[in-house]
Amino acid sequence: MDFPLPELGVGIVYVPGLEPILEPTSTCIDFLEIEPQTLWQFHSGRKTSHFLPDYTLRHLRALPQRKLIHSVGNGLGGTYQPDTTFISALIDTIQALDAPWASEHLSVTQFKDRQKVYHTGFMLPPLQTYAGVKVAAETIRNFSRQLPVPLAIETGVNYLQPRSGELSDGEFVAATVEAADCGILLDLHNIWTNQQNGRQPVKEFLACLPLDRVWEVHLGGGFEHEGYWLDAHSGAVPEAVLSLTEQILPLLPNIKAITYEIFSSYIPLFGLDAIHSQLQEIQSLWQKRHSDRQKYHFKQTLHQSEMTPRQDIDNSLEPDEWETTLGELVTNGNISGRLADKLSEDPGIKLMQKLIWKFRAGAIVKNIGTLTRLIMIHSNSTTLEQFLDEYIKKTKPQTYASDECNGFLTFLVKKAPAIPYLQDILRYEQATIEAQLSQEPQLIQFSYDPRTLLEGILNGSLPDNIEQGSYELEIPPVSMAMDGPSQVGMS
Amino acid sequence: MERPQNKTVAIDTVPLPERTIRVRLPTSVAYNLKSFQKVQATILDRLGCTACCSGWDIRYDVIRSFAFDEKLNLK
Repeated sequence: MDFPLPELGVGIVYVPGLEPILEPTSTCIDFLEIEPQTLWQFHSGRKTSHFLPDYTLRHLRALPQRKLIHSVGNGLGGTYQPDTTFISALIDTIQALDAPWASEHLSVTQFKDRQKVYHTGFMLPPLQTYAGVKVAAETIRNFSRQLPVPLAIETGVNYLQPRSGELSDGEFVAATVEAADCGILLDLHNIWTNQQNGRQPVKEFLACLPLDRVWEVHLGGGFEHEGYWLDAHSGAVPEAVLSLTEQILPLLPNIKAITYEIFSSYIPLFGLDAIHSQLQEIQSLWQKRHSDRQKYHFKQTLHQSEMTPRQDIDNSLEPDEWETTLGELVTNGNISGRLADKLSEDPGIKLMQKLIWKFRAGAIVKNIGTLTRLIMIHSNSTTLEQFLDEYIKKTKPQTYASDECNGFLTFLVKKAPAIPYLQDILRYEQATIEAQLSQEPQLIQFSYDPRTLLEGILNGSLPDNIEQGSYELEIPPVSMAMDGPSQVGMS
Repeated sequence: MERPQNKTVAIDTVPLPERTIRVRLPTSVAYNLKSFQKVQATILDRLGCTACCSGWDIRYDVIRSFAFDEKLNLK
């Protein structure tokens, strides 16, 4: 199979903060992979509810590297069909950045319960049966035919233990991509993570795949937590994964790109110099991709289309029941039944509950930091954790951080804990979010000089004296801060 | 008192007293862009989609240590 796609080389998933190593003179980064939804905003009142702000688009276009699009948050592994507003926004982003291909995840990120669709807050594994293959392939085809560029789907992480009556990880991916006729984004750290956590060994997984469909590889780092290896995008790519990469690259006839992934919050810990070194190491692997494939012992099994369907696969379970049950369990929902009882025994469920908690809490503390800091200054971090815990257990995850933050703000308005200045800071945070989403300055009233309070909170203490009076605070839209690429980052 | 450059939206509807002082908040404060605990403070990925992976988000862990380090150094 041949895909007429450009050969891009080695790149990195773009996160703000990488700018110092994205200069035109950089020799270790050939392209940037953009995860558009992390940079989109969602405002239901706008004509285009999902949108990439103009200042963000200008910033991305000014970066010298070629761009790829890696969609997140609308997994194609299940029954959920992304809506038209989402797809329109994705097409706009693909075209605006002239991406030669796009990718999404072979995961489940939405589930339905009583006609309402919920976001899972995490990349969940799809149902690995023939029924699951059929549903996933149809979802991928429906999505792919609407895009102006070819689509690859990413091989995901699965923190659950293997279940009887399901296809192996490799069999499921192979059957799905053949039925969907799409490309593969082979995340080697993901499948290595699965092996570390008791799922199919990497070499058996790779032996199932139609390797001519792989046109991109992802590499990332992780760490161990309570007996699990986590796909944390935390820094160094494990040596074992780099070794696998060296072995597998010569066997991928259509490989066009290798992408390194690290989360922005790990950048200060890992360091830009270390990222640069990691990319140089990956570049040297890329240069060896045409090495003699006979050097490596790698036996591929029959092509999926030549395989007889397995009779031991349990096709009685419907994909939507799998998605609803798994989705409710990991989001602390109330669900019972044979599947729920069985899955509840898997320690991976508790792990995913914890990881989802972390993501939701992280979105809140990052985006309404003045409020969370006020709570910690007055009370302590335990109180903040209790508030977050109560909120997270009572609600479902939101797709966008703006909705997650507004949900937490509403929760605290109703709870009304006795914290000084709390009601004012709640209004302040609501106004800040609205200023960013609407791109219009917001005005709110205070009975004292708010600048004294806000500077105090930012510096870690509540002021003893604040000048009283009638004040109106103007909160600027964030576009005023975006004077150019040099303005992005810490002030 | 500064005049706003763009259309402004008033959150509160109670009429303002006569001697109200309009103050403008620097964007560095409004969007927490001051250096804080060495966590990269940026604007571009605020309020975006949260479910981007399958790993461990440390943002809450980092912020939580704020309460215990008066010098705002990352532990």
